[in-house]
Amino acid sequence: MSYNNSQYGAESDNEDDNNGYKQYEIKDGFIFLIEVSSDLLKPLPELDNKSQLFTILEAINDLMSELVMTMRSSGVGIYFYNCDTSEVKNSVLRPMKNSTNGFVKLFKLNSLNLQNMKLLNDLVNDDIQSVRSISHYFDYLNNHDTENLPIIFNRLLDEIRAKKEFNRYKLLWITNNPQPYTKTQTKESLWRTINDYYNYNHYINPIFLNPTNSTQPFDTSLYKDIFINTNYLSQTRVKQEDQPFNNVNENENDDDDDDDRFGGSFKGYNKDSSVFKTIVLNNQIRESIFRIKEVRRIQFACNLILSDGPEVGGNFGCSVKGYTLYNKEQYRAQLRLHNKGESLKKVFTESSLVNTANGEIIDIEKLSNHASQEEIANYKKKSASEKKAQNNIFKGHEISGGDVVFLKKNVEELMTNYTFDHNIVDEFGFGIHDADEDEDENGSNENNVTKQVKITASPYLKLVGFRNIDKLDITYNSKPPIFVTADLNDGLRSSSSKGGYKNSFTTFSALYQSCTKLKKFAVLFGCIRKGAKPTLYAFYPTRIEYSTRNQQNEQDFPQGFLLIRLPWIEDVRSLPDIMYHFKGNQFETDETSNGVTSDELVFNLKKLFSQFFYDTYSPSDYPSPSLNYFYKIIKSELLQISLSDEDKKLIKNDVSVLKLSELRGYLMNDPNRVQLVEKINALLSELSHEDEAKRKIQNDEDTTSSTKKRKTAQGQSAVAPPVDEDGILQAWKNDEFGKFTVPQLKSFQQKYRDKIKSATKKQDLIDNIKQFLDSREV
Amino acid sequence: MASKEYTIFLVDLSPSMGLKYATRNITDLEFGLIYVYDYLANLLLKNRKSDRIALALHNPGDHLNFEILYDDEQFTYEKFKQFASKLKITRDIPDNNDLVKSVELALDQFKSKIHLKFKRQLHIISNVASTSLNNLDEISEYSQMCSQYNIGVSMNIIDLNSQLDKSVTKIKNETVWQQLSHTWSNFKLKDTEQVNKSLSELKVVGPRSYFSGQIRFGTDVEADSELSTNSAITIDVQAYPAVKPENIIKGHDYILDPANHTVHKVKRVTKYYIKKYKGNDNEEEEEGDDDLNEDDEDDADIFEKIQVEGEHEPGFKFSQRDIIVINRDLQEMSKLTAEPGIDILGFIKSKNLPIAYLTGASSYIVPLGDSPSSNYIAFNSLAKSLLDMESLAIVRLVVSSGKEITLNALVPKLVEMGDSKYSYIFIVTRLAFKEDEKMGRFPTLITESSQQETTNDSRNFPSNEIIHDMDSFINSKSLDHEDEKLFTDYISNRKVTENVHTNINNINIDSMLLSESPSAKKYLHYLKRIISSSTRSESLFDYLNNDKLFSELSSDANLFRLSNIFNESQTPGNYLDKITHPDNQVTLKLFKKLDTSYLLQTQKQKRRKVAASAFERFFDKDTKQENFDSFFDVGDILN
Repeated sequence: MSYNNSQYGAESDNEDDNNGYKQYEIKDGFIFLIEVSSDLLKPLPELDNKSQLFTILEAINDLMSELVMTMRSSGVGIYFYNCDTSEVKNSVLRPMKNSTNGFVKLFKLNSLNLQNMKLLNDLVNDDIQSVRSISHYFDYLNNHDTENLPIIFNRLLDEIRAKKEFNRYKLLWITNNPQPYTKTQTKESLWRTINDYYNYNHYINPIFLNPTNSTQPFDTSLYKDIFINTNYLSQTRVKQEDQPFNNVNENENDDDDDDDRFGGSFKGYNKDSSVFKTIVLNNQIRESIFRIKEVRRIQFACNLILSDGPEVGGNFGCSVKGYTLYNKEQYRAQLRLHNKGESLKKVFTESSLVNTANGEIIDIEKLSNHASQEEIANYKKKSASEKKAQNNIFKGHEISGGDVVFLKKNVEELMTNYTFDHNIVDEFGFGIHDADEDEDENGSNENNVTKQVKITASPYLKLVGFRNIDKLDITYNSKPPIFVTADLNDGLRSSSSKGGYKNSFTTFSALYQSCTKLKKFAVLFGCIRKGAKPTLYAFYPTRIEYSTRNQQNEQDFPQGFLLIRLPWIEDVRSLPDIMYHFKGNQFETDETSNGVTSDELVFNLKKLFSQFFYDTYSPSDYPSPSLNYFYKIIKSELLQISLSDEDKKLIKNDVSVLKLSELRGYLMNDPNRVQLVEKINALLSELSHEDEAKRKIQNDEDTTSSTKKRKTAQGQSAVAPPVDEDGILQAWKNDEFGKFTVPQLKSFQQKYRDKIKSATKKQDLIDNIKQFLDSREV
Repeated sequence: MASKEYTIFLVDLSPSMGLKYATRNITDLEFGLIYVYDYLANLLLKNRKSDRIALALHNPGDHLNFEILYDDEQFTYEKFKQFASKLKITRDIPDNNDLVKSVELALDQFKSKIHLKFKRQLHIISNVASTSLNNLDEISEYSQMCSQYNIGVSMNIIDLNSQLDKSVTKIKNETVWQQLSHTWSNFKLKDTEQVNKSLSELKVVGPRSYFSGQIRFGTDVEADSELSTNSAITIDVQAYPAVKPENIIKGHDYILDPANHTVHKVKRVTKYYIKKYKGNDNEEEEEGDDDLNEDDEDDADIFEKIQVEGEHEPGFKFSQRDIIVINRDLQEMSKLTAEPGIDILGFIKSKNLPIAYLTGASSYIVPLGDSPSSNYIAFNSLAKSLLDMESLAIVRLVVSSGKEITLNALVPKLVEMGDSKYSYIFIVTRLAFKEDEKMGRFPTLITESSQQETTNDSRNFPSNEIIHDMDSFINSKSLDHEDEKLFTDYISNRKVTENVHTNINNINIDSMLLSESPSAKKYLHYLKRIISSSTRSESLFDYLNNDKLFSELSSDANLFRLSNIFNESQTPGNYLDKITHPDNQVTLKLFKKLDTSYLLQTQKQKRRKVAASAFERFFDKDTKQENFDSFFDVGDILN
């Protein structure tokens, strides 16, 4: 009997390497290919008298500074064609080697780096500050070869192929020229070239800018011809016919907004593709460039089982996939560096297991010398925990007295088996199922086999039931919700499960439509990754109350569900003692909350606050101040630029402070509002006078038994004020360190953490501080 | 905060405890000891030095044999085995000494160290079926001591709540003890079956405040904070973590030495080294900082490892090409410092803030512990006014100078403190910033009939009929009672107040869903079971090393089911019944209409890696296009 659950504790330790996700980093190469034309360089009133080209470059500049924070491994290259650089001195543009005239680059496709970022940033900033206009460097090459596109695309492909560090390439082709070629021969040549891009899975997205002087809309038919007459369409058809099962969804066609244009491999366009219908207006340039970074980041794939019980078991369900919608972006120290010697060196680590009894290193990778080649090969394939087991290393728990309860591998697997039983057999007939037994593939390699689903090994999500949306309680939020949508491949291509449900999309769509209509969310139980600990989730549809962006200019969330982790009781923390003991601050529901609130205060607060309401909150309005400041400082350090004190001011770096300052301004602008605040403060000060009077009386009564209790209750929760150096010195002279609390001493120690050792015991901490002060005296 | 505990178990070893009750296949003693073993195994796993345990044996015969096992030191596995060996009925002489004397003697045991700070508890395990009791006057004298030193006495009576035949003696004794429990508040009577059902004990983590400061409205951020408060509103508050996913028990790696029957801890030692390339030094310098790139290829032949223990600093990769040492100065310099506090940026209707923006773990915001009651009233009034307006505040939170500046939702809540008492608090949760947004594009789930573009669309949208059946399916699996009051503004659970014993009466679907983690429960259950049953074996090592253990343990049902993932003891039958006994007619109907079925992946589909270059794949029609989500192997595609 084997348990299909060897990935124990993959959450807690990552040594098992079968975690299918996060294994590869997405490394996107973004290539911008911009056709220079006289229109592109013309200043336009609707663009604040800047040109389209400036707007494009400014957007790419901003995109790069965002990418460096969120998608560090991506790369950018910027290329222009039909660009005349012959007249320009000290041009920043460099002509492409072995290529036609007018094909130049600002910088070639390369991993994001400061040199390139600075180059572009200087270009944009010089224009903004009127030091030097962008048009200084660019000129339209009047006499360019009208049939030059095949050469350019071929040359660019060589350039891309030379850069192997990326695993996805996206070419953004920006043009406002409806006449990219004139000869059929050119078109045919282009077909072949574009086909090459396709074969390499390089994605091309044309962006058609509206010509500035034309009254006619951009005619994209010539572009359509290049893309459509390549092989993609026929290729798509062949694939669909080749499917042995009803799974034509595999090719997500690129035909409307919800496509997978940037998220998936390049599958080509058809005649109806919206890409040929979208003419980008000048005020949309920025948005269309930023869309290139829209990436679906997969979190998990598993089956959602909707049924239970004797008749259906787990047969009814759908396969789903989860993606990141929001996650907390923060800076981490990612590597260690050796800074002695001439250059910086990366410090590598190598960890080994050591037997603490004798200090011997246990090499779990090595088999005994007698092992055959085959044995060695088999051994290599084993997971780390299997290798450990073979070396007699097991998980264990030390119990009091020093004994260790160790768990042999099969016992541990039994204890961490999270397989779900769908109760398909009668009430009393269940026992242990072998997780593998039901999913054996008995010579079923040709066709997919329908199976009774009695049990499901992790990962899975299992329906518990549905609730009204007003019952969702997000008090105990612990992680950002994960966005869940249907698996268009019915779970048949995911590495994490052995199978999936037919017609997943239809089921999922029906579930979504019914949930939004009935205003219900689902409660699910399950492990979304193999071996992860099972959790309870709320499965909440998007685009209804509490899950809609409500934003006029921005797209709403995609249709689907939010998977929100609900807590187990262990995860819930208690309130501080004092909240429980201080009965004076509690009230009974039947009464009004009189005594603990003040009606007059509530009335005035509402009157004041009602003037400070937002309709929406949009994350895109709030860049993280701390994160951006960190990058700003690091950038200036790397480029050896000194920042002025002005640059470092909080208000320059924190948009939320700006908002606070606006709020203050708005508050002070209106005498009525000022009065209201004054009134509220007057009410509060009245209350505190009453309070003091009460306290006096209480203090007189309060002498014997209750003081001790109060002291302990407060001692736990009230935080003693931090001590300053003088206080510490005073205490040192009089040897009165005992009067400080541990947090006070710790805060002092932290100030001098280079010199004073930390300690867990109070006396040790005092000794360390004394030692430090004594040493300073000399 | 867990305080030191001093626990005494008094076990009745009267001959009647050796009998089996009609419907059970274990003796009363074995049944009563389930709790004792569970408690002791738990104590061993906690491995706390300060706790004390004593075992008192009521071993009656012609004269009272009261025996107490106690050592003023940590309870160890060795003692556990000793206890286990003592917990046997050795006599069959009818008893004529009653339990009361032993209870008194057990309570006397507490006296010797009564001045020390312990949480003291006496557990009595008995079926009270032996000698009949007359009165408990003497024992009442102990009630004074027990209330003064807060000693709890809990009497676990076997079959207390059973409806089946009981002997006259038992009925009489139960009545006598019951009377005592009415007059003596620290004395609790419990039914063993109930006790055994709710074995796991909630770990209470002492709340630790991580922020102490003010909620501010309208302060002048640019001016000196001291000066600007007059024209602004401020309330003193503290923040405490509200939720933290708990990892109940963490194990270590141990290595077995079967020859010597010993176990040793294995630790992980990390070595730091830099690579020094052999031979041509220029090669290394050629592309600047190329060796900083993370190509961990196993090209051990061309470099040697030079250990640099302690001579390294954290680094930061700004981009693939730009790497910098973050020493302490730079680390300090790169922190944007701001005045700590909770500043209100504005308000928003609760329903207008999408839950998708909540990106952090929630915290409680409570009034500052030692503040004047005017501060409490201000705090409560702020909460009440927001609750009245069905709104929340968007706040900027800075925990301490130099810590991350965050934006948060400040949500007013009412907490049930037990005994139908309520308090106001706030919940604060981090909101997403611009950089946190990771929007992708996904298929729409509702067909837009106006769009003609769907000609090529191969997605199968459900028919109206299917949606109608889905509606019925959802309604058939509804967990809510329509007439239930709305409780979302309330926090009501048995752990929010530190006093976990507070009874919160309204057991509802919310309290069922807030169960103990089934995986932790399962793990702990097995662990305690292994410890308890190991006492039968000569040595713990042999017991654990024996393959029989696995077959012994695996004889039980082990898988999760809807009926066992929630806490039984607090689950009212109707909720669980509804979930576990579904009326499947609706489901079957929908299931058939949707034509779903579970399909196994074939070998071909399962292949993960792209077998050939993109170009070759193009000509190989049999090779399926790899699903891009699965991040293909870079090496392969770039061959």
